[in-house]
Amino acid sequence: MQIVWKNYPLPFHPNAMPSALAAMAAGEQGKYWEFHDKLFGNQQKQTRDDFIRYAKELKLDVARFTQSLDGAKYKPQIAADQGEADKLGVTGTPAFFVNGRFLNGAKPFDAFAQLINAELTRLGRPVPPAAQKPA
Amino acid sequence: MSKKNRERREGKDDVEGVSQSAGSSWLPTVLAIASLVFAFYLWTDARRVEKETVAHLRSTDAAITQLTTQVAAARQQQKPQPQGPDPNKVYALKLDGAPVRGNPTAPIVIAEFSDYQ
Repeated sequence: MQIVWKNYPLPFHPNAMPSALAAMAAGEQGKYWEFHDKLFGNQQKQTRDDFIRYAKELKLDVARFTQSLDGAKYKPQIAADQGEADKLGVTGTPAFFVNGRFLNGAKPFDAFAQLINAELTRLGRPVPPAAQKPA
Repeated sequence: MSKKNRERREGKDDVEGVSQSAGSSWLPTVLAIASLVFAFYLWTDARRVEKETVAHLRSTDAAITQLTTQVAAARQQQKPQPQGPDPNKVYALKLDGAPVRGNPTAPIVIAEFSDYQ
């Protein structure tokens, strides 16, 4: 399975855009998901100082990180994701697309399992027993 | 004066009498006709105003009906919007350059639109 992150910082979340920029800046140095986990683990600590602290903790090149963050280097890419989400009709987060099939909101495991199993079956792939829903 | 003459005078008188009585009934007839003409004018004018009013009301009714339909259509269009993308469709997403984790050859790709807040 592959998980792809698409940025959809909601306009009424003031820290969402800076956090998205910071995570992309970490991703530039190969530590996107590590930074992602820092952000999710510290949802109340999302200031510029916090971002730089996380960058240090992840042993990133802090100067390069700060330059990318302050220069809003990934803003066009984030804006493109936002535009794509708007075009698709996504209005809230999180919004998932399992092989292009829409699943709205934070859904229980079963909702994912159902879609994933349906896709595996459609592709003629074996459905792992662990993922099968108990009757 | 002979009798014949008298008769002729009387006859003339009679004729005059007739013409006199005709002269006195001429004005009421004209007035009556004028009244009729005026009444007809009033009636046709009332009909015209009535027709115009009805036509105006019809166009107003049509405009209201059209507006009602438009409002209903707009409401219907608004309703499905919060439901977001169609769950029965398969959407092609742009995934290049986006952060990815997992097996790059995996048959299942989950794209997550999310934010950090």
